[in-house]
Amino acid sequence: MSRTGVFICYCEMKVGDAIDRDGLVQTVREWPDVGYASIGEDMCLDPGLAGLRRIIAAEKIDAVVVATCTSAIHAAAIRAALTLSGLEPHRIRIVDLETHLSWPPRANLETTRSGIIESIRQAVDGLRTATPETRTAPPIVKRALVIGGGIAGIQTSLDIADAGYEVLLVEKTSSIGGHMLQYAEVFPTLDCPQCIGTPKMVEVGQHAKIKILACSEVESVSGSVGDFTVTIRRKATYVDWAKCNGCGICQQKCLTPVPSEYNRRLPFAQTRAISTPFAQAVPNKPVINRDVCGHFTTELCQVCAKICPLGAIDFEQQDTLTEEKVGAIVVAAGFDLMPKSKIGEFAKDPDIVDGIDFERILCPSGPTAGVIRRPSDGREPREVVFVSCAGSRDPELGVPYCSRVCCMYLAKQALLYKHVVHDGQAYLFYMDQRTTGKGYEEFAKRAVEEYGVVYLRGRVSKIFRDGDQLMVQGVDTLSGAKVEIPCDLVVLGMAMVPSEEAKGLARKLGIATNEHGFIAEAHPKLRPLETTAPGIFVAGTAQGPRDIPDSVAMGSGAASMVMELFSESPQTRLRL
Amino acid sequence: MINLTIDGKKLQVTDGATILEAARMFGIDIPTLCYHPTLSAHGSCRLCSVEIVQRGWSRIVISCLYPAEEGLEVKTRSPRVLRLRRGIVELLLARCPSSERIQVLARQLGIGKPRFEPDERECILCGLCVRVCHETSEKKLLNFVGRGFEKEVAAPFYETPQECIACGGCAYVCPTGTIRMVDGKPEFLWQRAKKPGQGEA
Repeated sequence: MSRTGVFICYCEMKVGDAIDRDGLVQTVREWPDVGYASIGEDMCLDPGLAGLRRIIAAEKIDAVVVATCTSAIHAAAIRAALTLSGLEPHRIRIVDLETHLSWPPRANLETTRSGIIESIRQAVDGLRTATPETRTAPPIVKRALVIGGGIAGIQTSLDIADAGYEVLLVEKTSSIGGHMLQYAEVFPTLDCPQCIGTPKMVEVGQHAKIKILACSEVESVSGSVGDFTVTIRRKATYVDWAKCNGCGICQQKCLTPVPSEYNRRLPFAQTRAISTPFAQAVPNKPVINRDVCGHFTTELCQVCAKICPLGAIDFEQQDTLTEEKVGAIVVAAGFDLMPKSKIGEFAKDPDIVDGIDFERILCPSGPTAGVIRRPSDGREPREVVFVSCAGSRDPELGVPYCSRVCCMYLAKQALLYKHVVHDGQAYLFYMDQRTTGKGYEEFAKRAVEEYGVVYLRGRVSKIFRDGDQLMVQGVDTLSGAKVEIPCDLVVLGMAMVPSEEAKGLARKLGIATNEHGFIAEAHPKLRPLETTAPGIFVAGTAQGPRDIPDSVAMGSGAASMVMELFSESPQTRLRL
Repeated sequence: MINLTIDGKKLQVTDGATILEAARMFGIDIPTLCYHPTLSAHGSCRLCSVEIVQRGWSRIVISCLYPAEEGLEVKTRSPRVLRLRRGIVELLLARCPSSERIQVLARQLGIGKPRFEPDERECILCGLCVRVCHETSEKKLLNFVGRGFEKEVAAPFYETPQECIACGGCAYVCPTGTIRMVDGKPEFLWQRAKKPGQGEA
């Protein structure tokens, strides 16, 4: 016969009249096994826990049930304190009152109260049959799956691998690097992302502990924390990457030029039907674009296959499914920009570009070789209008949130534009200037004060073509005047939305997303790196819009969560 | 950078770009048959002829070879260009009436039955196959043989070259579909002709 102690943590604000304080204690005390029951306040705090331990010692309690408002936050601390009292882990049960308290509304007080009593009774009953074996978790597979090879996924992979654990990095495109590699210089330091990003990519590619699965997608996941089984679809590349050494002759010889997706289909540079997305790709192996390739469209051309010195081209290649065992998963599936076509009136003109299009145009190693040219006629734009909040903060377009980075990158783009076109003029329409970050406000100020970018507070109502130029109509709400700006190029700071794949991915992983499709965190403030499923973590823009430093920090954070799990410490094991 | 005007549209292109490259980059369509963006330009089909105006004088040049020049004014659809283009397509249609691409061009330009006697040659001597063989596979097996009316595409001794890697590039770029792939090997016009060793009449 065990002597169970039942402790109910009470607070006026959260629990209130959901329990009948005296009645509840009375009821509990009458149950068999219950040797002690009490209700007290602030059990989650240090003095409360110290009191708990004193009572356990004094009353010779050998099993404990603690009912607390939010076990997601308090459980770990309570378990740790009780373990110090010498209680075995399987003799501790935590009851989460939140499930009863948050059930809207507390319409039926009786139901709420009886529900709470029932939960506590189940915990007490459970202790009677609990044996140490039932709490023993299976061994942890110390191998992590990172989904997404952008900068967040890269950082996560490197940190986990550097700690000595194996990493599988799944990337849907043929190269890791993500959106960051597409950018010109990045705010606020104006580093070249190719210079700071590619060394990290190479590090990933060379790391003995990291296996990159490019052109791959997660097909399904089963199992649970510490022991997931993941099925990964390796999409056909029509090139045997085991044979290919990346010499690039196929790409040079291919007879089918196609617009480059990496270069946002800008007219200035084309790629070929067999190609790597960019010169520094990791892995540096080409892929055949089946939709346009001469072999697949006409069955005549076999140039790449016949020219490849290693015989690596394989037109018959099929998708393959591989099964992998991992102990933890990090979702770093990234973002997309909302397509321009969502804003019908802005979509059609080639000289209305989005943020990433303009990054490619600005990029010194981009398709225009650093010369700023507009897509319609290749001329240098003399006047450029930047429009922030294009899509963001617009509930009608389904994006009521702020995309966080547009204020900064539009200021940066305006500044970089002025670096190249000294006598050009940049205008920037904004709703609010949101420059929250180290050195950000100073940077945006520089754009105005040193580079003479004209900031207009107001929204753009209409953009239309007027001969060679575009006419931007808007309102300057500070002066109250309607403004009409003739310009050569318009850059839209389009909203950040979750990548198309991320939505399906959440379903496959069985994790929650918010109403916009961003991965939901386990607790919005205190557990930002954990998803709703144990053992699955989130990093980067898959969770919500954020900039590069934040994505990298989050990647390192998610990696440390994985490492903590793999450390198999007693505290970690308790949570399995 | 070079500024030029094509059909009234002011464009800026990089040094060395041809008129055709400039036009195509910015969505101005000039028809071509012997041009391929990954191969060197040859200028044999003349279909890309355009009118250029310099110092008030206008003349016809082929856009696939004529480099863009500062201040150049180009007309791709002037009456003079269209008249010339019609004549070229009419001649090509007479030479190669079974070619689907030429039929389409003829339809677009409003050409019915050509005034010239059709001679069913199948090949318009655009030289794309020759250039693929020289520049892409670098085997240099296909060449032009003969001159004038006798000119044709052939491999040495009108034989199927042993060195051919059957890359199919020649068949893929051929605008008239004259070169076919049969059992994974290219089949050329001379192999279908009556007498090897002789140009077609």
